[in-house]
Amino acid sequence: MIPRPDMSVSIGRLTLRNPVITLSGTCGYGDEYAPFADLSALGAFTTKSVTLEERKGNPPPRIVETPAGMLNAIGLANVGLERFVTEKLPVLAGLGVPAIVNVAGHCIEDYLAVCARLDPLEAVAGLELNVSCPNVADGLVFGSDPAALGNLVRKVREVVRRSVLVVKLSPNVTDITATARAAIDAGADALSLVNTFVGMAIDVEKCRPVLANVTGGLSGPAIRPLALHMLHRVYREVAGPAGVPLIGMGGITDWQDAVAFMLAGATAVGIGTVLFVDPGVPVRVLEGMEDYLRRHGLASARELTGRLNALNRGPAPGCNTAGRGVRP
Amino acid sequence: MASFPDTGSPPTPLAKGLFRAQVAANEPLCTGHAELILRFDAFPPAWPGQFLQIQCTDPDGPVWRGGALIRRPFSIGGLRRGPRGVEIDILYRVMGVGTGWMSRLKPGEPVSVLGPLGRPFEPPPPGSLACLVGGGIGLPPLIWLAGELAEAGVQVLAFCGARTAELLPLRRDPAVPVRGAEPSAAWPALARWGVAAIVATDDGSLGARGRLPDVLADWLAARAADAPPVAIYTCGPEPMMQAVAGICRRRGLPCQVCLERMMACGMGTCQSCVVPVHDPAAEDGWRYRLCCTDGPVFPAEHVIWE
Repeated sequence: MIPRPDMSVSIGRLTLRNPVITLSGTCGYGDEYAPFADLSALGAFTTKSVTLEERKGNPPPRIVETPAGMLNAIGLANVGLERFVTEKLPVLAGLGVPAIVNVAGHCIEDYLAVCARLDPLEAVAGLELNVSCPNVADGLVFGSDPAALGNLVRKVREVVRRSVLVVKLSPNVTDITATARAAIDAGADALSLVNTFVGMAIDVEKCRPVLANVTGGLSGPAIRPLALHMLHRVYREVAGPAGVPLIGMGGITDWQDAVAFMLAGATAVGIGTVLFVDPGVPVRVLEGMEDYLRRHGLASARELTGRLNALNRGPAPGCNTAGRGVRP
Repeated sequence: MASFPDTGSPPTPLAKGLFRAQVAANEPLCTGHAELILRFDAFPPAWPGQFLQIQCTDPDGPVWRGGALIRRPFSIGGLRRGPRGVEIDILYRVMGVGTGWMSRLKPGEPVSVLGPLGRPFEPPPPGSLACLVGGGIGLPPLIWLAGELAEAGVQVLAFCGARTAELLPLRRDPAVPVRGAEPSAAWPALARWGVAAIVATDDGSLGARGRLPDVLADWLAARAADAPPVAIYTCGPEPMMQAVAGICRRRGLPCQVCLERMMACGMGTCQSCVVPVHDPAAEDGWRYRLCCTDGPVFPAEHVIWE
């Protein structure tokens, strides 16, 4: 009998029982999906963004479906730090899954205050910096300027001593390896990528944008090839050589997508938008991935990470300036 | 407070789940509208006003392989429990890629359904006449409500509106006359419960000519002073519900509104389906609530109309 593959992976000091993570903003604070699916089997759970003060969020309409995806402009609606700690964290602690708390802010001081408060709490396994929310006025500054991002991460690193520090990268940049490098150099334990792409939809009859916020973040299968490419670049050029784990995300809907992100260099994968359609997807992804490992004779999920490189040693995509081309 | 038959008043929290249903029927209703009947082996207790999130793609195989991505919310338009399981009626208007897919469903095909979702209508105060005011594709939750209330012994009168006769999503019994703003039993979906309906169309092609809130206001004004108190339930286009809520506010009538919002999940996670409501406890007097889990039914006086 073939032994059961070892599904555990490590994100910094944090060991996850498997590489499947639910993503910020798509799974609430933990108990909303309880009637529909058992999330306790997952590797980790990521909360909706928490900000220092409570935020009402943007006016509606906040979402619209677009081809193969959806635009959202929720605007970081959340209960604020203190209510999160008193009302939501106890629920998370009861899930039986490591909780990664996504943190957003207007300025460095906001991030520092939230991270310093959450870091010592037992129920917090990781802190994920949302430096790339496209739906708040100043959300993109940290996410698109490597120097500003490095400065933020360096300061946050000083107050985050216990939990794993993850930086979530924006795809709305000219060169994602630059922000990836800045975050790693400043001390991030791991990177998660990518956040949503800024997009827009227009109601032509009403002659106005569909979203009250005008623009929104595009997620879903529409962004999958773009996200996969960005993850692969960051893995090959920055994170892989630096030994920093990546959490891959962007339009994953089934186990094949999840395995593709792992092969491209992800240590763990995030399931987001598809949870809205079926909260049972993460468990099926996990089952599919386990079966894939068995069929391919792999003993551990860790063997999937970057396996694409092991099989194809061509030049990194995006750096192929010598015109050498990759042998088919 | 009265309770609904069989099921009584809803408990908190309500049972809900992810189900695989089978198409029992899918028939055109009127121009651009159709009625889908789904059959479930089992389904949790449900109440009028609650809704389903239907995955508008084949539930077998990958979650997404083209077509609609997020589920589409539909009010439950009727629910019957029998020895062969549970049947649920969904009345829908073909609008886009999701409802277009639904319109092509054939009997026997599988459909993935989340539900029952949301906070339902509450029964009226004892002794009330329940007036159900529905416009266009806002009618389905009121059709089920009419049946449930009538079964519970509540007096019910329906007000049904559409832009034109062709767009009223109710099958008509041609043998029964419809005269102006008089209650008529020409609509079997309501008449089978002994419920009559006053119909109004914007163009006068059926029933009274004019807007439904005006017809309701005239009817209320003409009532005898000693007639039983009225409780209003409304669902339809937002300007219509806003007008109905205004009439109820001026007359001091209880009014419950069933709202519709674009939503991704229906389970309280995506935070997209917000409704601004008055909240004296909030710093600036208002807050957002979620249409999917705090609603879709709200007391009209809570809603801040946009």
